[in-house]
Amino acid sequence: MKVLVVDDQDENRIITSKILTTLGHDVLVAENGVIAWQTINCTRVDIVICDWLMPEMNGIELVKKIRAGDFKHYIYLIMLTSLGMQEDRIEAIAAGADDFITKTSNPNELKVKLHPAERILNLKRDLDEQNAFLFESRKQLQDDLNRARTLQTGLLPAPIEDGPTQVEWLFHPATFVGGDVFNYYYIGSGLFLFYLVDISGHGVPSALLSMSVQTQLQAFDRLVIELIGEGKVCSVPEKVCAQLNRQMLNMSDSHDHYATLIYGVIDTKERQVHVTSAGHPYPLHYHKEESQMETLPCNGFPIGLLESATYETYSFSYKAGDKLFFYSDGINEMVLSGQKTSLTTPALAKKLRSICDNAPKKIIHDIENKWFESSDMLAPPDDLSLVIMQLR
Amino acid sequence: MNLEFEIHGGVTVIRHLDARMDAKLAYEFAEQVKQHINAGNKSLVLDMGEVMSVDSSSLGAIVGVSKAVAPDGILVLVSVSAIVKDLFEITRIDQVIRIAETEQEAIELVKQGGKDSCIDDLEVN
Repeated sequence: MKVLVVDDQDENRIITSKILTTLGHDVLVAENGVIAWQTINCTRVDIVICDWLMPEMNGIELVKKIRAGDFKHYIYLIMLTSLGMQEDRIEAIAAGADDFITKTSNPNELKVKLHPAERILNLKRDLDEQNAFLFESRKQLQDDLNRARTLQTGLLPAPIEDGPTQVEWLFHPATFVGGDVFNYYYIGSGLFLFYLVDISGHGVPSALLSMSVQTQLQAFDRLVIELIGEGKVCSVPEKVCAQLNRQMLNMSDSHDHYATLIYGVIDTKERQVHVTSAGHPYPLHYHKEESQMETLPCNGFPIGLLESATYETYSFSYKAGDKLFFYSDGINEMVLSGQKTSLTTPALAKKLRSICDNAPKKIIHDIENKWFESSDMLAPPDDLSLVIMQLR
Repeated sequence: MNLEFEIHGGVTVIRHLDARMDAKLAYEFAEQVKQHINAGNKSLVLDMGEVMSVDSSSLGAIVGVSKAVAPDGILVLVSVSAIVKDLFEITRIDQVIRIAETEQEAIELVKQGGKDSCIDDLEVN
């Protein structure tokens, strides 16, 4: 241990130093608090043994200064006190001293007093090492998750600002990554395919499964193109859902996770939408001409939960200017600013109705900036996604 | 989570689910009920009177229990709140798990062994 002996009496300093050197310690000396303080700041000192009354800076001031200082390691402080000075000891403890030695004590007392000092310093060093390790591990994990979040968001399709279907979206995972995923693209002449998946639970396991489901859904493109070729556009959603259900149930172990899904094809030439809901929240259809918000009555079994589940397509027509809203149930768990209850689908429909005539981009902007407390948006209780489509 | 298992003449009524059933509680629920099923109790009534919301994981856990007791036994739910009923409707789980209005009715349904509805023998409208 590196021990600093602070005493203005040359004789005391020399005696204490000799004892410490004999005990195998590396000894430094200072004749007052000011010099001691300078020494501590340029050398790593483990233990300070300091006298009480000294010129320049006394012992108690030095103790206070060390405790208030910003040292990376713990400095064990032992004060020299006169015999029987109970009040001095209380004052020293309050200032931050760890222990005392009476000035008249024999070398053995000093030797014994250094044992707890070493023990505490070793414990503190182990603790610091562990903390540094945990800090580093946590940081690595967090950096990893942040990159995963950026990647997950980056894999989502870009908004579409032109063409027969304009699309804007909102995506907020509950943790760094989420179990929600969506996609949309043209698959045939005038046929716009879309889906929104919500894996049960949230966090990394759900995110991994959502990626797998996304891959499986994309692999259905061949089946979709075949069905379109046979003129069976309206059976695309139900067939895809049924096939995905079989595949998910065949996975060796999805650990009780399942998915809810909304899958649809918009026939932009016929102005028709064919959609299947697999346990997903009811989509909303805004009829511009009538200024009405309709909750689409399509429901169905979730994907990957039941062997016997069957699926059917719900088809409906639209007019130019209509909008469709698809969302995961995360939005239903949110509480609007200034409200107490969560945002149920009827409440969501009503709330959306009031801003529906705006462009999709403006609607998303309003939701993100006005609906919820900003802190809610940063950490929603569940993964939250909302896709708005404006049809022409 | 401190579930209570009350056994009446071969039928277990499970009480004291938490008001907000989330992913963590879903896991605890599934573990506790599975222990009870493994002890040979497969006729279950789940009292959902205290449950205000059910998340996706909890819905999965309830379906899991329903599957675990089939085909020898059955799970019947009772006192299901409107908001939870909505979720069962969206996911059509109300077509595979029976929901009774009263505990007495639930116990009767369980005693019949759920002949008219079973998770493995699904009939879709």
